[in-house]
Amino acid sequence: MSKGNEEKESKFFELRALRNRARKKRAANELDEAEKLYSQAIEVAKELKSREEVEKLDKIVKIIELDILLQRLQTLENQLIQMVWTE
Amino acid sequence: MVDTEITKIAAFSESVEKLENEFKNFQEKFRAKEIDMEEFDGRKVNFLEEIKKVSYEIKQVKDLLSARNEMEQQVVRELNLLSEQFQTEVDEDTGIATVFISASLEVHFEIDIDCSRYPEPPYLFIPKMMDDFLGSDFIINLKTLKKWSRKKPPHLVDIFKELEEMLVEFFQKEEEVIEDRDKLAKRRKFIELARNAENAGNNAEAINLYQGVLEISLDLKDKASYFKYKKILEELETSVKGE
Repeated sequence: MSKGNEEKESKFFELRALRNRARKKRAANELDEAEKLYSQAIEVAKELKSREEVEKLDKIVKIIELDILLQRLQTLENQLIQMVWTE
Repeated sequence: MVDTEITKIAAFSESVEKLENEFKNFQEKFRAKEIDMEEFDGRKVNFLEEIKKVSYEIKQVKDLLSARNEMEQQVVRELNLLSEQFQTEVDEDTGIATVFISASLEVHFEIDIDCSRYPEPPYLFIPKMMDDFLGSDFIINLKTLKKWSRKKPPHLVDIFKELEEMLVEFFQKEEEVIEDRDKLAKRRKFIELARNAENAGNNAEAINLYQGVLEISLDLKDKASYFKYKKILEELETSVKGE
């Protein structure tokens, strides 16, 4: 295997490992951490010039960003529901 | 399209932040009892309505982003099929899953699979322990992967069925070897004790022990040893009868 191919192979491995770690963080609802890892994966995908991969990961990051916002709204709603008027 | 999404997310983020700040302010006033019941009820209802409205808008954009093309739908179908037959943790957005395989009652493996490019062959993250047992190149020798065709790709579940079969067979053999090793050790001990008993003139005990040797040899399907010790036992029995 040529050096160029080896580097590409190792980048692919890095990309897959990052995506995998990010997926596990997302499944554990650690959304901020997952977003960071997916963003790192996007950088690696850019280095690999994989436009398709970049687009796909970018979409996931956006979905996570929206999930984070939804979570914040949910927290607000819960706090509001718990507020009860007392004389 | 992408710019629109970014703008929308930024706008949502601003709305959420604004709501959080307003809520904080409301909460402070509430705690300081600076608002009356009527104002409290009114603002609470308004907040809840605003939260519901923003959440709905966010979910709509999220649904648009989550819409899958034909290739992505195919990946989801494959992952569902996999989940039906194996214990899995699946992320449909990325096309990556963790599959749990039991090779025996005690040995279990977790294998990550990246099938986001299906019908291209998937990428498997093989745990090191599995490599240690089966050799580092076992994965490329899996028939399902070897004969992979992009035009008519096999189901992902077929890879794991083959892998499970391979692992179960391997660990079954391992267990048999360990069991056999124990039996061989036991037989060696019986032979040693039988000879000692024979030398000490304790023929009854020697006969008992040789019978044990025969039983183990039969169990191990070791014909040569069985006939060898059967002959010794018969000679011993004949000599006992002659006494």
